[in-house]
Amino acid sequence: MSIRIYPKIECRAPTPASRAVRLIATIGLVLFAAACTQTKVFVSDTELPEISGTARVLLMPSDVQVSELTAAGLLEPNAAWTASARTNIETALNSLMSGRNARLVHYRSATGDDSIDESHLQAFKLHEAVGATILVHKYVPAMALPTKKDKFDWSMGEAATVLRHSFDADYALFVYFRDSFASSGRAALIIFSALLGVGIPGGQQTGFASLVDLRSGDVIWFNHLFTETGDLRKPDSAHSATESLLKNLPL
Amino acid sequence: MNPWRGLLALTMVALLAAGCVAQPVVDIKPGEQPPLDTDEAGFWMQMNRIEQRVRTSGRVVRDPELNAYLREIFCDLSPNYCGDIRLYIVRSPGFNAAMMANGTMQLWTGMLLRVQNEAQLAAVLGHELTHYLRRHTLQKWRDIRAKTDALVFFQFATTVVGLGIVGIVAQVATLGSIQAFNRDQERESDRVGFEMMAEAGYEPEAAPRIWDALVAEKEASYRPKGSIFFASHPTSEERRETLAEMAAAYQTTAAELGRKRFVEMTAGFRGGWLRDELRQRDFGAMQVVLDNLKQAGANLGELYYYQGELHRLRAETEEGDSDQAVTAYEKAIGLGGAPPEVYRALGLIHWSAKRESEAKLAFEAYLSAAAEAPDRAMIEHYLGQMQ
Amino acid sequence: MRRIATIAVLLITLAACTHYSLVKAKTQKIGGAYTVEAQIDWNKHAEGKVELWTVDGPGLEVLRFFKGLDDGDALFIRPVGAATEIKFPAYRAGMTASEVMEFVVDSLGRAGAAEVEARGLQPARFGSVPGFRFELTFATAQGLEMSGLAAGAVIEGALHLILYTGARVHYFPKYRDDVERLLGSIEMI
Repeated sequence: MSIRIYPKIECRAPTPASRAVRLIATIGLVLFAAACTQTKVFVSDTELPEISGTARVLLMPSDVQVSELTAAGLLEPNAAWTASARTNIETALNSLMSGRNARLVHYRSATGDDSIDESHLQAFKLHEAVGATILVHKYVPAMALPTKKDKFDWSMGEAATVLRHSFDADYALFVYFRDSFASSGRAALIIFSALLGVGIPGGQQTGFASLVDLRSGDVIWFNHLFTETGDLRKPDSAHSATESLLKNLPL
Repeated sequence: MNPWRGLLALTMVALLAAGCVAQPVVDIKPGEQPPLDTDEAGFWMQMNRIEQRVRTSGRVVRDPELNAYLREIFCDLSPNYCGDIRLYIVRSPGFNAAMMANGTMQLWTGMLLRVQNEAQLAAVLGHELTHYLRRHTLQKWRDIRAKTDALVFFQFATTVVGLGIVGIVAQVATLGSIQAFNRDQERESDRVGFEMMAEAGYEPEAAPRIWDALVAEKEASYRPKGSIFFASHPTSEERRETLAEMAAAYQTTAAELGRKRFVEMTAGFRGGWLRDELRQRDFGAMQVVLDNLKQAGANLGELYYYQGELHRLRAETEEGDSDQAVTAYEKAIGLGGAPPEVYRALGLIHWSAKRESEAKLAFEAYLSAAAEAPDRAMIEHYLGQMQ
Repeated sequence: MRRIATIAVLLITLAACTHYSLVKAKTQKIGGAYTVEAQIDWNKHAEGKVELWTVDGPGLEVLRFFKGLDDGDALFIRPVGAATEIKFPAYRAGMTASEVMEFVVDSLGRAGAAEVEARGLQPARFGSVPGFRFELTFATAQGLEMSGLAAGAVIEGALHLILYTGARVHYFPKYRDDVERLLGSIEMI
């Protein structure tokens, strides 16, 4: 059984910098680095059964956090930025889904907050374990599983049934995003290190998403995203990040 | 020295100095939540997520009665903050409790095993509440952030002027300073927690007694004692001294201990919590815990069973005596109140020592006492192998 | 020639860098003590006296072979960063089946599992030698419910144990029958 893999690196050209002073060129290389977003998608080869009408996609509570990167490299979580990012991502998801003839159904617990209901907990935790397994064994070459070499066949099995019935949904979508932005101290340090000829990282954005067919429990699509640019706090940037995240979604 | 480098170094020092300005912090009010655009809100957000994990982890004790009891003790201690704090009982050996910035309080079962009454429990609850009240997590974070920022700039500055080795000294100094700040917070929590407990009418002397037991346990433990310089908490000895002084100075006739109810409410759990301690294989420390419980006197039969278990497990890997285990098990049986496993434990020792008739008696007693024995088939198999 | 040698060295280095190797669905030797029929293809990682087989990843299901534990051996690898003096539950040569069950339960607890319960301890053939088996339930530190099945024997004082654990929903049941057939196929060397 074969799988389709879609590694993709999309880069924008570096902004031209003055070449007169070597010092400025060094900073230029560091700060105006080519802006690349890397994604790598796995899709299972199983035939998707026909769904008549609009597909109902259960959006599980998205796990989003936006932080400030301190000079020393610590991450300080920022609630206001995270709230903006979550709103922007949900807006983007809604618009991207409706463009695909799919309807987003938002997960709501009995308590009305971001928690997961007791009856759905094992399904949620199993998906977490499956997601972590995929990240380790499909995205880290040294940890590859030989029996999965040309396969992508992870599943939640019967655990998906409870979600399907509770929300009358055909699919479940899990989204995870982390974004960080350099503090002024960190930005200063980046410049200082550039002067010494050393590049240290600024803020980074990473995300992953998975789509589960709730009838079979199979993970039918999985993507991981990484970039050093982009800003989830801004609606258009969040839209393009979400669009990159949902590349080759089989809907 | 290259003039560019000199300028760079000066800039570093300036940034270093800027990082050390402390922002004043006031106590959190009942019902207060931080505004969205503060660093504190960022921590609450993160802690809310972690709280969900704590709540749904396999380690939380969900028994409604035990939870309601602890909640009642807490709300009596602090009616104002009753609605802001959520208590979680975490199943784990060892004395520990933790407070998260968003009002999540974790109480380890190892702590409930070691405190002897409601007064001592109140002292622990008060200590943790103080971390919340004084916003210690936030202050600690700001301290860490400022100091590590300063450190990284200091390191760059010294690298720039060619003094690389100084960086290591600075790292040690920074970590030491961070830990010192942490220790000061712990002292404040001990002090304010004590005041809460004493003002609630509990006997003040109960607080230092927690530390008497913990000092003895630490002495008896095989675990290496950590360096004081890097310790995140003051020493147990210091905490005991300080609390003893405060207790002596506190003028009161209050002597409420709340022992009876505490023993009743925790009785059904104690066996499992003792089993958890055995898993740690820290026999010296556990002996101290057992001795304290024996001295307190509740359900001695159960305690002698676990004494026997300690001897038995100790005999496996260290100097130990199966005979001491047998004596303890027999004492447990004589006293009554031990779990049915005491017969199995006795049976296995006799069986290994080829004392078949004693083993037979013990195994048969076990099978008749333990309706839901998880190893019935195996014990019957041992019986079948005897003549 | 040099080019081929370079490629060969690179390939060997790559191979050495991979954590898992393939176990085909045929007779497999476990240590020097016994063979089993693997039933299906597995992914294997071996370290010291432990061999770990998995199909979907050890976070989901894993079959562990403990190949002759001796006096003082712990069940799980010491966690990274744990001080060398820290004690873990250890096997004692010639333990009874009841004590082995306790050793496994305690070891799982120390490795972070919650609510570990063992039941159904009974005598069972381990190949041609008398042994035992029992079942387990526990939860991971994250709260994922797990099931387990253990079979083993003490042979000349050393413990040979096979431990199959997996997520209670979907993954443990998925290969349970294969594991039972594997256990039934044990042949002493």
